Amino acid sequence: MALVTAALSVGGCIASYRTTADLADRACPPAHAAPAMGWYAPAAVRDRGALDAWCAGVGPSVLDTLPATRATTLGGVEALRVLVWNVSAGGGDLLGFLESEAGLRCGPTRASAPPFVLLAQEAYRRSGEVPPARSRTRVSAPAAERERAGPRADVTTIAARCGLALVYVPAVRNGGAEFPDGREDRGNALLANVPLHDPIVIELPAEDSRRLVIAATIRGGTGDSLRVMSLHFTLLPKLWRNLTTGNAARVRHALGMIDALERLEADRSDGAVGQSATIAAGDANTWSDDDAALQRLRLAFPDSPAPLGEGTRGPFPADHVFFRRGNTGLRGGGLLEGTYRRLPSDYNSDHHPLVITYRFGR
Amino acid sequence: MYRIHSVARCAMLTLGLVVFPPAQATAQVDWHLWPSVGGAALGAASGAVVGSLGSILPCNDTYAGPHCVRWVAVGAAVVGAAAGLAVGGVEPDRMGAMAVGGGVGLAAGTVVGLALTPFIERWAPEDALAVGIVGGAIGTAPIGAAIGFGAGAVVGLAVWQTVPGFGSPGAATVALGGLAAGVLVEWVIRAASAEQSEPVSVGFRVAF
Repeated sequence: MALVTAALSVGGCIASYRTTADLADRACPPAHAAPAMGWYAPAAVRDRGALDAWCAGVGPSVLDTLPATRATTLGGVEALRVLVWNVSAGGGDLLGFLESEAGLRCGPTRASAPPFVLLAQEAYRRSGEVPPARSRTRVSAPAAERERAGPRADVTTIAARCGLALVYVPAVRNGGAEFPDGREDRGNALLANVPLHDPIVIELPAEDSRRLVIAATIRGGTGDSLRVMSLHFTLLPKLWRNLTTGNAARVRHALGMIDALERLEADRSDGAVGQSATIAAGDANTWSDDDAALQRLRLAFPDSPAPLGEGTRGPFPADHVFFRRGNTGLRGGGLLEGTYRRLPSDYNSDHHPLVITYRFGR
Repeated sequence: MYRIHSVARCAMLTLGLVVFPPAQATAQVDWHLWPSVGGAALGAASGAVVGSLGSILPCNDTYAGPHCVRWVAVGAAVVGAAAGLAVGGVEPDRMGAMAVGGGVGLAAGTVVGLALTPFIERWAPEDALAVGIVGGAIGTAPIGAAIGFGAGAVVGLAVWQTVPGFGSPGAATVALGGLAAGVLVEWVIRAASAEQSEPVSVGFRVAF
């Protein structure tokens, strides 16, 4: 009884969320990470061991940062459409979404479109490069997909078909099934018809499984730049952990992401104060706009748009956009007012997409 | 700071209210040391569990988040410990019955937790034990838990259906808050009536 009391009384002490770029003792990321990627992971040993077990089940990251189909205004990018969507693995109609919302025409004859970037979560990839599960590999259940008509193409296939730049970093195996053409993993992705620079991966503290934030920088035509981050937080940790931490899982994820962002900017600024304009958006898996994790993020991203006040996953406001101008905001860059909204169609995913437009500074 | 001060002040007031009546009674009845220690431990555990369970949802919507849960759990553990100290010290038999109820709840909850294993992904033995611990906390004060949860569920559902934007999380918040409050109130009532051999009359007849 004393143990129960003590355990619950210390519940609410948030376990370490600090991150590090030192991956020397990690079994997994060095083997799978592209050398050109910056990689930040939890510093706590307990987290690193758990993340290794999940990471062992996924294939290599995909880094194809130059689009084959250029945006209509490339070279003088002034406004960038930012789309945010949890695609629910093969459930969401990603191809239809890109054609309808980004104005792409994919296939043998491609059409250029206004500049856009899609911050995707639960994108999946099927490949022979996804390794077979071994005894200590953690394998996630496959994402629950709704039935739909049409082909089920993975994110690498769609990016190639549409001529898009792609950064894809798998987080977990998407089920243990073996297919004739390989196995599946799923994770975060950035798809864009503009070049993606300086790709970054942030592994979030281990809670229910392995969750990631991936980032890249997009340069405007006038030298201004914007960092975009695709985030995916946990829904619910295990009951035992939830009770003994006071439901700290998403707060840990938010603090871990903020910590890694501060570290990477310190690493890149050579000692100078350098905050780039940043949009962080994705599936935070929240059931309230006032979630403690969201409140922490709004402090770190003080120029965030007001919550939409409507559900993106059923009635729950799971998906969000955060923004901070950073130092480069002094050049006039910022979000275009009135452009933040939830798209009416969910394109067969269990999440509705969000859209917002960023205008680069001059 | 205001939240911490109010929780501490509330805990101190409740401790005083709960402990002083039985303390006066010790001049007339024997004080049972070990049952009082056991009662304090059981009350603290029960209070911490329901305090944590009942505060997770409302605290989730505050900046303090997990810290808020901790303070509520500590406050509820203090209330439970004080009540358990009084019940065990004055009326060991009643404390024994509450401990047996907690044991039954622990066993029942663990069985339910184990039965859930095939249906929930990554459900581990510690999660089954967590269900058991919640069951144990409820088992120490089942009447209060039932009344509190029932009242909370009815109010929560009614508000959910009538107030736009309240939503199912709001209804769950009220129901779980009612459960936690019910358990703590039963502990306090048992402590306050510990020296009496007859059932207490509080406007209507309450018998445990």
